[in-house]
Amino acid sequence: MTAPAQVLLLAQRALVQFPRNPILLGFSVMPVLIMYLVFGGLFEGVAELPGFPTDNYFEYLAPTAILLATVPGIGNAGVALAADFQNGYFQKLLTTPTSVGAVMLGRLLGDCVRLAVQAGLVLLLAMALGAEVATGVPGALLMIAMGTMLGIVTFGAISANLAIRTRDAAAVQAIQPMAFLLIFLTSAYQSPTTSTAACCARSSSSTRPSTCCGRCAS
Amino acid sequence: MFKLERAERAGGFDLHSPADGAGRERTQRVAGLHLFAWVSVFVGMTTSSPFVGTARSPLDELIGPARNQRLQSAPPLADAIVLEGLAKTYPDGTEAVRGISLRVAAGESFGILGPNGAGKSTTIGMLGTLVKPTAGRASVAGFDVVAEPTEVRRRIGFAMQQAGVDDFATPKELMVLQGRLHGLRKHEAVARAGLLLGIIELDEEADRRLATLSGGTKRRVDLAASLMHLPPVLFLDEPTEGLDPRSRSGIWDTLDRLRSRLGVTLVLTTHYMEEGDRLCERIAIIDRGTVVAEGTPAVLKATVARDATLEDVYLYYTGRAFEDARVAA
Repeated sequence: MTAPAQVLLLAQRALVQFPRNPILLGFSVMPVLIMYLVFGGLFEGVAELPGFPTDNYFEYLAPTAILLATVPGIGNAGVALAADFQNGYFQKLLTTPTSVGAVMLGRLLGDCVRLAVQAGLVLLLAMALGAEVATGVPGALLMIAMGTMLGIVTFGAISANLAIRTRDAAAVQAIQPMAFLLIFLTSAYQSPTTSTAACCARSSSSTRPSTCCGRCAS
Repeated sequence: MFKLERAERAGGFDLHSPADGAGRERTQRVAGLHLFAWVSVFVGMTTSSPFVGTARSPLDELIGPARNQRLQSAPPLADAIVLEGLAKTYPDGTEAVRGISLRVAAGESFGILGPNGAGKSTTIGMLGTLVKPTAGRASVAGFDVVAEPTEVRRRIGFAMQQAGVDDFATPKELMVLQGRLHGLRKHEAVARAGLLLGIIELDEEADRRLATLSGGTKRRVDLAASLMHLPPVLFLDEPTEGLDPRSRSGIWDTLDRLRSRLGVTLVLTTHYMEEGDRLCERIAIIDRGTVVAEGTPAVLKATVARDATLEDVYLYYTGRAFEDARVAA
């Protein structure tokens, strides 16, 4: 059996697992939805700032929400690999003519499909909240694909390698908040013209972001 | 046959008056049917179960095609497993295995006995390509475990001390995946999984999630998964640990038949002396990473005392003196 065929088989195994683990499915998408809705609602006024690129803050946040679904979400692939180590299944797979790389890629590919579906759901929610994808369906698909690929090559690779090194699901899980921190450092939250901090600096000494943004908008 | 006789008695065939052409023709037809029936019975006797008249067992069905393939493939090696000064020192300085040299003949059943921490699992792990040796060399089925690990893996089955199963999968799914990773086609893997599940008496649990099954059942599934590609060499690390006596006996029977019918080379580590006695033609007792005794169970017993059991041998060689020897001293 060729290596790509092995990767596909192992990806299929991961895909079969997901519906059997509703907690994973639920808790990997819920934080993203909550953050998207909370931040979107909290900073809605920012969209009224002069020069803000769109009049709908949910639309502005949509690509970030997709990244929030894909980048930290791919960390679950590392957790699953570490769990396989802990219950001995990883070693079992290594007694077959399968390489470590194929096992890792199979898991990442399976999670990649899951994340693409979850990212699609987030995008549908964004569209329900008034967001528009200017480039249509191809643009939406490209956005999801890019978000998923970015997740794999960045946090996915880190978490999978950490799983192989530590063989400890808890250790891999512990680095997941780092992915959120990295996303909060992106321009979606830290643009010099639209960030809460910049807004507050230009207005009063209020420390409540919603008040601050409301004042800026007015 | 009985149907034919009944038909004759009912007057369907006139065997005793072959004077006319039609009667002769009928006689020839009946004779032909008799001949065909006998040839069928003869072919059945020579190619399937030795128990004529009974249905083929799942194990026979499983072994049959593989046996033919095995016979058509390259002739077996004299030594299926060779270890020469094999050693493993972990990065923290622990010397788990200190230069073990052994040979296991093709088709032989070889046991590795020893106390906890003696180096049994590390040794078997190196042979199974899961642990990289730090010194010496080892070959399995003619392939070097370090230089040609993939070739080794194609030819081995490995049931680990900790049942290596995916809790989200069902036994059937797990076994089919294992078979497919070994290159079986999907329909072959599905059929073989079904047969193996029958052999280990887990037909009813075939589609239940492994998370819901007991530890002993998981071990049986793990062992069955190791047999999916009917490997010429089978490594079993404490294969019946945690199993009830009935399951243990069933697994011993299966292993015995696999070995005798397919010529599988069996290497197992065990704590159960009864298991060593029952399954192993030769035994190596390992302590502190070295082989302290090696031989057939009978020879090993004879070196310790007359009427000694394998447990006495084990205790004698792993540091605790044989009771009679101590009394005599």
